[in-house]
Amino acid sequence: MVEQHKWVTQGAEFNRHFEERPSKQQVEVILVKVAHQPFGLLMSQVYNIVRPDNGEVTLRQHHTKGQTWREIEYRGEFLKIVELDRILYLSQGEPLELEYRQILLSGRIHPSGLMVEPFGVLCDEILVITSISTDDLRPIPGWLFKKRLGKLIWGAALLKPEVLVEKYDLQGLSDNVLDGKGSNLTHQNFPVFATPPSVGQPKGSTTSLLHTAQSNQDERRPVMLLDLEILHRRIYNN
Amino acid sequence: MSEFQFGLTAPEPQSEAERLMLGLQKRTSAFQNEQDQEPLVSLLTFNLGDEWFALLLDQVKLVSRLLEVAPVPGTSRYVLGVINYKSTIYPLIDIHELLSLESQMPTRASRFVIINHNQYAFAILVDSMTEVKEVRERELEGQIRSNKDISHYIHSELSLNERLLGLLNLDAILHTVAEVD
Repeated sequence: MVEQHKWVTQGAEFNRHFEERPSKQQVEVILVKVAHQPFGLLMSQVYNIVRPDNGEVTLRQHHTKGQTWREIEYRGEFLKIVELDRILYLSQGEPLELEYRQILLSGRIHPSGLMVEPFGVLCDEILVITSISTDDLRPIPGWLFKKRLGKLIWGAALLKPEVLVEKYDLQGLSDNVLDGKGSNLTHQNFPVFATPPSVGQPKGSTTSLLHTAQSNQDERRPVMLLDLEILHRRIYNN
Repeated sequence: MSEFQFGLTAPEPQSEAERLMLGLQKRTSAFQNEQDQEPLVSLLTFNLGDEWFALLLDQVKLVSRLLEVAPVPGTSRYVLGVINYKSTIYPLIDIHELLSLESQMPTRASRFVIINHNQYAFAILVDSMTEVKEVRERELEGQIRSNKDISHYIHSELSLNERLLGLLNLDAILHTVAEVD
């Protein structure tokens, strides 16, 4: 039932709370591209970046049913890797191509300082590493994707377009992600019309509430943030 | 001694028609009083395809022009993504398919209606806004004549200006969006 998915969006109150109490705290985020979409990962969860095209990586094990990872050999060690496009339902099971892709290494740090239970996440491209104020982080309602992704997406960062444009062509965002129902309507159809309306104003409005909002004044784009700890738990079952 | 002797005039005997008219006036007046006491409900009406739908005005936070939509993977097929309106993120839902309507390409008349329903805040895509209608609360209890496939998502149907207006059932819509992959 809907009741199970309750999630509070306080809206204006939420923003006011952030504006009145700026945290000045920053988090470092690595922005990656997966299936033409930008995603953010906390740098505190990433320990290294591997380029599979340098000959050090070979695929050792293919997917088995219900398994979210494959195994590769990296510098003589076996390493479990998760394909982000697959786990995010952004690909249709195309064969794994390691070349031209990048692997972010993650895991847990043992008190001795060594990384234990390592794993890698495969992305298409690394866009940029940037610092984001915690005031620019927003929650995403869990009921949107709880059933399929659990808490893998833990929030969104509101980023100025310039942050992404530096290394990334925004026009190429997401060619096929949301069109699962076979219609032509996707999020891509919208930016074209992001201009003040000339028609369609509500007639007979009896309250100012219904005057169409004319200016958003916030051009920042929400970028989904992924929690690698969730993937770690899935791989190592803890 | 009869009362007529004190200058009081006897009421003239009413004709049948007059009595009926008097009765009608009383009933009209009573009906008017009843109507005045019954609360009015404001509905925000809009079009989805060629169909006319409404939401309770109290549930509507605002109506926005189209904004950029950021995709969210792993959501139900009814979710187009999220929008950033004044630093708040709202899921955007396309309810055309739920209502057995063909999705329309957005035009300059399309709008996002941002809704606060119970503890949920989200936006729906509508093809064009129409107007705010005030109706009697009792009219919201009308029978649903739409086909069974979509009647679940319609709370009630009203006949206004010779058009059928469907009041959306947000609980049912949210339930489906949250549950269906």
